Amino acid sequence: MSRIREELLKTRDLSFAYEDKTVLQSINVTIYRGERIAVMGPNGAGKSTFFLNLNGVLTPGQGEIFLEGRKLEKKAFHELYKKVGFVFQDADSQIIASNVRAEISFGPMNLGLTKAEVQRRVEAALDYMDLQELKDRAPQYLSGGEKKRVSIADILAMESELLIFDEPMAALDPVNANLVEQIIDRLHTDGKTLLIATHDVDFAYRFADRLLVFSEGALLADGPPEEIFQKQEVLEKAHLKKPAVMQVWEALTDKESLQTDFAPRTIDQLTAYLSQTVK
Amino acid sequence: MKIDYYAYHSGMTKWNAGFKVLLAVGTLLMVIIFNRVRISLFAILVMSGLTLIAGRLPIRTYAHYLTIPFAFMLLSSVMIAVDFAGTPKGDFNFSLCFFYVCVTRQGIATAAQVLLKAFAGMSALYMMAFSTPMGEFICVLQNLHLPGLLVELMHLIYRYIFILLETAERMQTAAKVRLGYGSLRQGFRTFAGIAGNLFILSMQKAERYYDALAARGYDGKLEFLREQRPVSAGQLAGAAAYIAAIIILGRFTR
Ligand SMILES: Nc1ncnc2c1ncn2[C@@H]1O[C@H](COP(=O)(O)OP(=O)(O)O)[C@@H](O)[C@H]1O
Ligand SMILES: [Mg+2]
Repeated sequence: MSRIREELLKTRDLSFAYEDKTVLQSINVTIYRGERIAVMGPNGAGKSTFFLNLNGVLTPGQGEIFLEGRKLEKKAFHELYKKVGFVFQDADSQIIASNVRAEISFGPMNLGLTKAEVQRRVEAALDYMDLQELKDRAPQYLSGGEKKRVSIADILAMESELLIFDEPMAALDPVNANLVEQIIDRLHTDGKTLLIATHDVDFAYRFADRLLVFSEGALLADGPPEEIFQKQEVLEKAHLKKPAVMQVWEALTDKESLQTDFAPRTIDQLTAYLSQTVK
Repeated sequence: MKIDYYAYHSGMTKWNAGFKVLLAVGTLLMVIIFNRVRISLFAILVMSGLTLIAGRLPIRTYAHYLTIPFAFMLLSSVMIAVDFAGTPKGDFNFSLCFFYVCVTRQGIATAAQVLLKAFAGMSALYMMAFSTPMGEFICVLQNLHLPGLLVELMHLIYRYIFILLETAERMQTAAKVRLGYGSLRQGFRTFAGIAGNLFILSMQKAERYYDALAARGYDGKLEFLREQRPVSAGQLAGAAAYIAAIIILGRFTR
């Protein structure tokens, strides 16, 4: 695969404060097209605030934002929602309409599209999230997992290239968490750029090709997961553990001196490797 | 709030909302204007029939929701029918120590008329309430050119009522498992605590809700795609026949 890194969104020295409380300090991040980025860090580290700045809901006190290499005027920040979709952590605080179809149409309606185009996008999002059967339902009669799917469809219908998920698996049961992970994989396959906040190191290790670690409003680390999860001081400062697969692999490579370039990211890869080599 | 649930799961949910509102309000007006027992009866028959057959509302549920208003209506009709007097001046009189409870034929007729009229109105409003989700009802108001701000407020309030209810329920359960409703006094204290927490929580959440609206480009106008639900020819013919029947019943029969 040719790897021309196309810049999608960039922040330079982005800082943000709620009233007088500084929450983000001088954040420099460049997001490239097609990346899968996991954003980690303890509660209150500033992840959600960072996302709201990228999406144009909050306006940074200082710093610049570049979209596809072009520097944005400060006035244009609030237009970022057209390019950056944001799925909130809590589906209930995102859903506003009184039925699923109307709910999904809210974003596209605000994009100033024709009615036919809004309709097309709503239908496409309903299909993509497998919600056709629920399209006339009221949000108050949906389960937690269904609400989550609706809140994702909301954003898909806006057809933005960069999708941000704020702790998408929080408060979901394992079945629904699994479903959301499959959806995320599918979105990557379909060419979306993904930025996902999570506390689950195993998921981050499976999913991400890049890791951003926040701590107390600063960007503590930015790089490939296999490197960052090796940095003891980063893990300690951000209260992160090593992914289980990585721990097992390290234990194996230490003792059995299985020296390879390969390092498994998932349980499946690990077991496949083991069943091949260890007879 | 249960009514809301039935409205979403009625066999008539997919009917045009404006049509249903018009039918209910029209029935109400005709019943009042004509003020005839046979028209009230006819309206009760048709409206209850719609709710139960077309709407597929279980008859027990319907009866359950009618009990309280019906009891009220019955009580007030009885008050219309009876009269208290010192002399037995009615057609039927019951002596009670110093005075008589008198009932006249005229009184009974008036009471029946009022009772049936109220019942007909109730059945028309129930037909609407049990088949029209609030969101669609609000859209009808929007079509009537109510101020946009009012309509949007109704939309948001409607949505957030359910979230608040859920939250309140969760808190209540949490209090219950910690025996927060042990005694009456404790119950009041717990309730006050929940009410206070709900208020604070709402204020905190309001900001998040606003952020979520802004994240999808909210710029002061709440707009959704609306389902186009044309009135079918059958429905239109049915409504026309219904109105014609009422007019004939009202004007050409003695
Ligand atoms: N609306 C707000 N007003 C004031 N302070 C806030 C607000 N939202 C978040 N904060 C503060 O900003 C910091 C970062 O919060 P947040 O971005 O939500 O972190 P994270 O998503 O990483 O948990 C926290 O200390 C939090 O208390
Ligand atoms: Mg957060």
